[in-house]
Amino acid sequence: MRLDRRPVAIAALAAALITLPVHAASISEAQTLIDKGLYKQALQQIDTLLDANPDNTQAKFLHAVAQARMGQTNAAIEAFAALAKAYPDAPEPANNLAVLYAQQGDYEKARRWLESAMSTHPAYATAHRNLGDVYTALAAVAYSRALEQEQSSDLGVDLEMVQSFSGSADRGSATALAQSARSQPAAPSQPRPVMPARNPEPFEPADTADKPLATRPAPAPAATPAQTATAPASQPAAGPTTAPTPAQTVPATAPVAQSAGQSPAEARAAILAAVENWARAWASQDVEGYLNSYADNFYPGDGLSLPQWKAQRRQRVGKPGDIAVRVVNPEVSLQAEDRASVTFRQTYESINYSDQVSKTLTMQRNDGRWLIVRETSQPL
Amino acid sequence: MRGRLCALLSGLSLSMAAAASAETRDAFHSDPEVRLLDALSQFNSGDYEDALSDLSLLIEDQPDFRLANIVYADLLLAKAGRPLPQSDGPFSDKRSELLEEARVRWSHRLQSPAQDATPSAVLTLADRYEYVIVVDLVRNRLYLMRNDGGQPEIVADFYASIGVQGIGKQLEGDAKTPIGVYHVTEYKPDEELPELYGNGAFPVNYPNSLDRVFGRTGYGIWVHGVPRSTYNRAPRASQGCVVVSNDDLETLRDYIRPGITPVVFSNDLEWLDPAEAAERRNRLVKVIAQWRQDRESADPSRLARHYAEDFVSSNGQERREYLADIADSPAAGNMKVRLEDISIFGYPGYREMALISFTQRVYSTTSKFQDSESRRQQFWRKDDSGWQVIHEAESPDR
Repeated sequence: MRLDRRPVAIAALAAALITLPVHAASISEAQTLIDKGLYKQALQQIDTLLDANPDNTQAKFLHAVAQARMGQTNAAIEAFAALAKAYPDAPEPANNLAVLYAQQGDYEKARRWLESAMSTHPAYATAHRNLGDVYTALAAVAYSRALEQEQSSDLGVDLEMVQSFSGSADRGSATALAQSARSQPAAPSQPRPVMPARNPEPFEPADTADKPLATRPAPAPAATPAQTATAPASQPAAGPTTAPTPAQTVPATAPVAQSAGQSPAEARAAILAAVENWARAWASQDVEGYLNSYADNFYPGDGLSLPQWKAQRRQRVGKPGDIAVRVVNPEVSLQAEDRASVTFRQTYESINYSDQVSKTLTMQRNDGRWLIVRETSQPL
Repeated sequence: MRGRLCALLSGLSLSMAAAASAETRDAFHSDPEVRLLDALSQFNSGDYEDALSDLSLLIEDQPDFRLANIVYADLLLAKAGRPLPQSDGPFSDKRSELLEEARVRWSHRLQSPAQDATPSAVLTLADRYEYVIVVDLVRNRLYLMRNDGGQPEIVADFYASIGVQGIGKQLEGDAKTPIGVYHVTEYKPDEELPELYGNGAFPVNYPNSLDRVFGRTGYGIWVHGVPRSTYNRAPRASQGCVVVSNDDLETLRDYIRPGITPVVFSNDLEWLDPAEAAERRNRLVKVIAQWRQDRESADPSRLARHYAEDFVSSNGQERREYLADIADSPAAGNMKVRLEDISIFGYPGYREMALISFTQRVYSTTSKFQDSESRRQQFWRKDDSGWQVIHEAESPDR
């Protein structure tokens, strides 16, 4: 019996080993096919890949891109929507959904999806450019109504679709958000915006996986060789090169710049205090205090606009009846001097209902206050 | 971003609006206007995201609201960091119209009558008038007011368009809105109306008796709605009619009684505090009380002093003839005169003029004549000799 099992085990291992490099290669092959306009072949390639590896998100994403390019808009929308739901903080599915909705002339939906992408990635150039175009298209429609002009049916809005996706497979963890190892799009690479030079700080190469993406591509003046060397190397074709553990947080020595006047330790304390205030406001049904914990560019998700979400929360938070909200074991992950995420176990109890979830708040520092820009829950 | 929004929004001088909204506390306002003004407020406070999302929702609900569309469009372009479009020939007119509309709507929000203020045009209302409409022609605002124990109280107010040539109709075809106190003569429903008039119309009795004295001509002055391709019209857009949105006309319909409801068109509307209103009212109450007393008098000169030299009656009689008829009638000196249902209007458009309407009951104190009752309007003017009647007529309303 023992002898029988070994060949199976070896075969399985071999298969795993074989698929790894193969699928990395076939992803980029598929991308090339798409660039060449050979969508059918690209789809075949990707389908084969997915048969062997049905959970490969890069492949799923690329599949949707191919469908979109072929004009299978509804299928592509469905696929990107599924990816957006599974990876709510990833800008790429959101961006591409916007592209497709804009193609259909639904500029309002396009706007909401792009604003969602921007809320988690304010420096994401593609979404930024697309959003400008969508605003212009929306404005053109509104002007034609206001001034009673004939509106040309073809507004010629051509948004940029993104062709690769690097969403972390480990979506439940805080570091999925801290994971800034986003790849450059495979086809014409768009340079990431460069943050202004910061106070040069020593740092260890091991931290690069958690560095805010904006400081990566253009080496800062005081960059060490280790930094520039790791930057290009960490453009994965398939998934992140590092596998951060859920409990990992940025070490205290990480160079989060001091220019804004808050040391990492101070930032952490401020963030935890903000989360505590938020939970307290919620539990004591202080609707204004609760809503004030959210930034103006908070993106609710679920297709709700901000005013709709606010109205819903007003109702639900303000509903009479005692509630208890507890934040357990919060883990703060600093991404930039003004950006962080916090993950914790959230328990909610009211007379009729109680639950526990793993909650992640993406926080942004505006005018010295840490405010919530995204809020997501996962089952425990 | 603020700086980029030239043209439309800087024209509103929004920066001066540091004060919170001063709208009449309990007055009803139509929803699209409230939402638009709220969005402008948000913009003014720097809440650009809220302004944009609220405007986008408003436009979904009311895509024909042209002003909301242009504010939204300008904000979007400003946010995208792109220049506002150049105004071409025909469209620059439309842009200016929209800017003017924004200005009047915003001005109203900044400065509205207090809840207990009295319009100078309506000092006292008889019970028979449950509601009155007062239009501020200068500020493009139509007020629906309820008769609260004789005093008018604002129930709702709406943005209103007036004649394209402005205020002060004199002649047929001059495309101006008249100034005066009128009443609604009838109601014309949607089915009877060309699309231009929207979902309903309330004709008023221009020219009224006083207008005819001044030789004013023209007809067809209505309060009506809008064609369904738009939510509302520019501040000066009609041939003289007062135009409101179809929603607002629908609201008004529940309160207006054809044949009865007074409609005031004013170019000099003031909102008086209770003390000032009482003072003006009481002065005129004294005036009409004195007139009543002198009307009963056997001495014709007592009545005569109330009538101006240039008085003319509704059938064209001048002062001397008119007073002679009264003095010569069998009733003279043998009667009691009772006045009821007194309404006092500060007549718009003149420095000191009032319209006092009442039911006049004349009771014979001998058996020489029949008691009589009539509804009358008297137009009084104040000059150096005090208040005097310049015109008198039967009241045209039911």
